[in-house]
Amino acid sequence: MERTFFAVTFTDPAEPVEIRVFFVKGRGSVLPVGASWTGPDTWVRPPTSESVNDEMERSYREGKRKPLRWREVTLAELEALVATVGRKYRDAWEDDGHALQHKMEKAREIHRGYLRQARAEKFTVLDTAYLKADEAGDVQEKKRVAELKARLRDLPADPAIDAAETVEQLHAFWPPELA
Amino acid sequence: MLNLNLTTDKISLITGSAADVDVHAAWVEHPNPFTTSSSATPGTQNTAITTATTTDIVSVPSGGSITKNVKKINIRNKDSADSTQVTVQFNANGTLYQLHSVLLLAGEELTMNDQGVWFHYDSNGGVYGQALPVASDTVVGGIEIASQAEMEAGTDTTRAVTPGRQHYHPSAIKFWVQTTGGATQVEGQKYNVTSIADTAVGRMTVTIANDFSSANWVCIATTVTSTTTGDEGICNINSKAAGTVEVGNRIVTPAFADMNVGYDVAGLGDQ
Repeated sequence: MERTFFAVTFTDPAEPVEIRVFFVKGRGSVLPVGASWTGPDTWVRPPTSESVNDEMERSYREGKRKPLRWREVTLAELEALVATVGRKYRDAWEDDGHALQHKMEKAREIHRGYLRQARAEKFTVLDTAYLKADEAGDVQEKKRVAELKARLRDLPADPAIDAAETVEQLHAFWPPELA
Repeated sequence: MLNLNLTTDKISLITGSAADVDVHAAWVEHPNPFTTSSSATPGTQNTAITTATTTDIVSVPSGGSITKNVKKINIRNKDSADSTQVTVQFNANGTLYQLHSVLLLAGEELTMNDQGVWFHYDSNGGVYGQALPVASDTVVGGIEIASQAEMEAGTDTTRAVTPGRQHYHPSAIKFWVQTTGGATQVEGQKYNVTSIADTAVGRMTVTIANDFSSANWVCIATTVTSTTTGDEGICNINSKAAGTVEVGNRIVTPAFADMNVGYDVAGLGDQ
């Protein structure tokens, strides 16, 4: 085993869970706490409570984020988390102490952000289309553009977002207006 | 070897201070001149000295026209603690000629072999040698090894750098890591790094094995990508502390984006 993984939850609920890769084997001039030399500059460090606690203390003692708890997780858990939608909702990850999962409230806000980012590009195109229609006196085209812009503006409030109970359902909600 | 040809020739030893010193001398006496019918007579003399004094260690030849050919002299300071300056001298009927003089530390020896060569042995049996001159840009000689403090100062031009201490020099990179990024990120090569973390989208944190002396150190970081479009942003050092650094791939909107290959991170500074 070269490394092991820990899911770190912070006291600030706004912070997403951090996945820390704890090195069991390493190389360098300094011997970490709990490690032993296996060569002139190589070491091995079992993930004991002593070595893990020391690693966590050194990793977070100077930053603003303070860990609430950490839990060793498996590679299978991490791979399952990204199996369907990848890291699309990475900042919505949370660990409830037993399992890694997506916090849906956060995931929905992340999805709304994706919608806003995509529609911003569309607005630019539609604004140009509206000006052209206006210059040409094309009332029908102006109405079409206006209605499309209104639908885009309403996208973040679409009830399908709040109705989505999984990130897969969220990911599936991508209106044709954004195509 | 030493030859005592006259009945007034002898060898004596001056001990400069009190110490337990044993002396053994071995010789062969033969007629002078030596002919095919001459016979040789071996002999030895053992002397124990404990004070600061002058002691005869090889007596005069046993008769006239006799040469005492001294083959071996062994002078040992067997004292457990005290050293003494020993001086071997040839006494030619009261006229003294110094042959060899050394400071014998406790446990050391001075010997003469049958070729008349003197050796000074330390307490471990090692032979004292000629001191090397100090090496320089133009002189071949001995060179001292630079200590950690001397490496960190980085100013000495007369000491040698060893592989185990070169990283203390200010110019040396103190840590580096190559990683793919992401939750299941795999580090490629690394040095003096104990963990890395998938902090959030497009953000990665490194924990260094040995803290820098403060947060004022230089971080060199870059993102690694295999494509020419998509996830490229600016590799940003988001935060830096004495023992950790967070790097990120910053784009315009949203603020960060995951890298499709990973990060390379290294650091220089005082530890």
